[in-house]
Amino acid sequence: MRRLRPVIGLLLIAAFVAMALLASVIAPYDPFKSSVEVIDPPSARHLLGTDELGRDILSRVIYGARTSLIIGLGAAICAMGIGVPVGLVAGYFGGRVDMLVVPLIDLFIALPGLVLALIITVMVGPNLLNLVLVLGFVMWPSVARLVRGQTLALRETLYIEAARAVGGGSAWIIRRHVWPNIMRVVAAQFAVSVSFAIFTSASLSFLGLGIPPPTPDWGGLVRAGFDFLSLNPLMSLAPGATVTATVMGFYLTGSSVR
Amino acid sequence: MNGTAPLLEVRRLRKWYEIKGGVIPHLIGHVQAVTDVSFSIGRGEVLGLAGESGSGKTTIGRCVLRLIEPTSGEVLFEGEDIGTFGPERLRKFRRHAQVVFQDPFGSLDPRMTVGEIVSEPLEVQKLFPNSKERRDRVVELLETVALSSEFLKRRPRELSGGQRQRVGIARAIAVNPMFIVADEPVSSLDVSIQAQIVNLLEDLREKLGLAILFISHDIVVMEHLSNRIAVVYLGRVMEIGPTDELTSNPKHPYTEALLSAVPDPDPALRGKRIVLEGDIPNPVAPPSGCVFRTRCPRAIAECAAAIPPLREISPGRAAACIRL
Amino acid sequence: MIEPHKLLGVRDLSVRFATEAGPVLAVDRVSFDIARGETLALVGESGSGKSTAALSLMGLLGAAGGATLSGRIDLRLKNGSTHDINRLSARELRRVRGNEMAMIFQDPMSSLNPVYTIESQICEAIILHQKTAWPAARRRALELLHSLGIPNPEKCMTSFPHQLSGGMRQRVMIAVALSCEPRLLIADEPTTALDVTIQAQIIELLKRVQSWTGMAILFITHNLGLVAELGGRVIVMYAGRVVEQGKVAEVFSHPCMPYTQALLRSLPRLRRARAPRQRLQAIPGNVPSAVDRPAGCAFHPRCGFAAKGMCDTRLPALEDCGGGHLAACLRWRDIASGKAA
Repeated sequence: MRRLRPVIGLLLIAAFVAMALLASVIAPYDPFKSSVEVIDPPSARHLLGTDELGRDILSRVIYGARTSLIIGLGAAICAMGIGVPVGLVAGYFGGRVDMLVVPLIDLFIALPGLVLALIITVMVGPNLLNLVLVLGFVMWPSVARLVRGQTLALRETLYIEAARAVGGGSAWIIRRHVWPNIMRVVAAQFAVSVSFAIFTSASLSFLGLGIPPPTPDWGGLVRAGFDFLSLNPLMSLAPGATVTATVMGFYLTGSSVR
Repeated sequence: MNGTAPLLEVRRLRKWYEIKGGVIPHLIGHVQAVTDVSFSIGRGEVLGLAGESGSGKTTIGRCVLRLIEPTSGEVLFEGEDIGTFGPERLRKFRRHAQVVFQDPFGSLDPRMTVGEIVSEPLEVQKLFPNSKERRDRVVELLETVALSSEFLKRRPRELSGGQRQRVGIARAIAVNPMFIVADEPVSSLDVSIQAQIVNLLEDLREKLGLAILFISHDIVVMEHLSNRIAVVYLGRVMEIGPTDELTSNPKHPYTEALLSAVPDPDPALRGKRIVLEGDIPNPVAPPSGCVFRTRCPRAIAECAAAIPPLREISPGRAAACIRL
Repeated sequence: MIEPHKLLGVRDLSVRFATEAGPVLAVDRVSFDIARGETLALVGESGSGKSTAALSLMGLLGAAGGATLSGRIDLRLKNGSTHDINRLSARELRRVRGNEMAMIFQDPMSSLNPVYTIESQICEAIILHQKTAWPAARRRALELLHSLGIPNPEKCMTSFPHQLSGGMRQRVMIAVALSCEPRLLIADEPTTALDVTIQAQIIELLKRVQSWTGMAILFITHNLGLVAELGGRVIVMYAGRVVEQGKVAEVFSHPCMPYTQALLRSLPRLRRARAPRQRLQAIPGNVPSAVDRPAGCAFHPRCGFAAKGMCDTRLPALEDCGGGHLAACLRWRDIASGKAA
């Protein structure tokens, strides 16, 4: 099972990315185009049925992968962009920077990410860019904490002291010794961040604070299908399943790296 | 910079670590790692720094290279106080003063190849900007420490302990230093490998005219390599002098006990054994007066009164004991 | 099975480990005896198999650790019967450990439980094996600590392991080991982590303890000087095999196996200015890894006397080179007579 985890994870990620990139090829219909077949149950023409505006649900779910990919990657990149440098500096130099950063990180981590994202989204208004920024902002402290901890441990190693002894400056040591040694862990955290971002954005959309319509996104699709659960349960279940599978894919991959 | 001045001079070096405690953290004491240690090393000279755990010998080695900042005291390298060096001057200083660590497992970055490890000092010091020349220099260095160029692409975990220590030595001599701190360079190696490394250090000293501060708990290896020996106990120098005089005729009771505790394959050669009572005291609260008095077989009441100064007994020879 | 004055007889002991790199023969057909009250030193470098051999004597290497043992380890118990350690049940083994033989390790911290006081750890060992009540066990513990030269036994009893120095912890371990009066003490590098002045204390202590209790000591070390200090007999191991054995004085003054000879020559010795400084005679090459051992005599790639077509193909057996002094070298006669180049 240990060895299977990353394999399953990577397969799920591959499926997700393929779905996002090849959406226009695999989707049977235009996800924005309405038709007269409103709230049709699953059929050979519409494998998952249609929604209240007569749009093909399968196509919308497939295109929803694009939105999730953009949000997941974008937010994780933002989180890394802030978290990694902050963690490196706080961990390597310690002292005053560290004394300032640590309480800040602790404060952020004490607040539940979803609630924080919810509050900020209400303030700035929901759109794709804002969502990416908000989620990145919510996630950077956990990245910073991880990087700081790893750096702190490395700073005490003999080989870093050896690098200082040959005259290596801080920038050199961070680039040549600290970064290569924490890269794996950071990559794992990146995957976990992507999964968190996709999950949280879906939750926000479900609460009506996600991507505004008509752009298809999974959280929004789940919510839209909710009203028709008795007529066509797949309307909610299908996007719900893709969210779960994708989040799991990134999580399994990320958590299998030690 | 005149020719007769020592290469390195340490004056009243002190390193006390603060201990904070309490609900509102405040200073509650000091770990007195090193207290008022002075010595000097000439060009091409090997000074042995002998001591047991808690003697502060490793701390002294790090202060001398300014890998840690001393609490007080001065370290002069070629007459200049290294404590006043800014970052750029410090980097230049590291071209002349290098270090070999005890643990060849921990001191090599596991992710780097042997070639990268040995070329790092050259890159940092911008010594061979041409990468072809730099590679040639790395191969030359590996040959100097008796490793072939096959090792260039290997990683530390693929090497034996002795081979790793050779890589550590190659890295230290890469910049062509005048001075090396060797901190227990053979203690973690197998018995049959130790002699190889001791011989290598000896060769390098001759070939490169290296001055070495040889730090060890093993006074036998030290006797073999050093011109002079300083014996430290609880962060203070007990005795210092030329190797042969000090080992054949130890003056300080601690030196005597240390020498007598060394087991030899031929017990007849060891002479009378002096087994010291008790443990090494805690450096947070060292004994008053002479720090060795609690274990000293010759201690008298006066030993507790004042810290005995290091007094010269003969030219180049000094001991800190009031009972001489 | 073993002669009456023998306490322990090891016959063709082999220990195999299954590792990722393939099967490793850590101990290869090792045989030796320990007589009552005797001191036997097992000396070797890393990978020589000395610690593995010691652990298997205690029955501490089992299938759980991926080890396969073969051969016999006959131990004579206090009641006079002999048993093969390799064939004892886990329950019987537990009774033998402590009562019949005890072990002390290089790092006493790892064999003491950090959350219990010294008192509870020593008393527990006593109660477990001797079925006495706590007050009696406590008296015995105090007595032991006192006799082991611990300055303030009462205070030591209430301490936790981390509050003691390395030397004190090793004394406590010795007390635990002695608490049930074993007839064999296995000491695995007990002074390696200690300072030389403390090492001297522990060695003196072990010798003293041996003189009152008459127990046998199996001392495992890499330090040849310590072996000489202890006296008795010595077994030199290299790459999992016994390469030389005999009385310490005899082996050290006239080593027959080139490895022992080279090892003794490579050691720096305290000159005390009596002799001029000489270059150390280093042994070339590296200690072979257990996964990849040379064919024939494992020492031949590093040996100055190795003969082609002989030492690299044939495994030398232990031969008597005079008065019970055994060596495993195909060329020991040539070497001894100076005929070997």
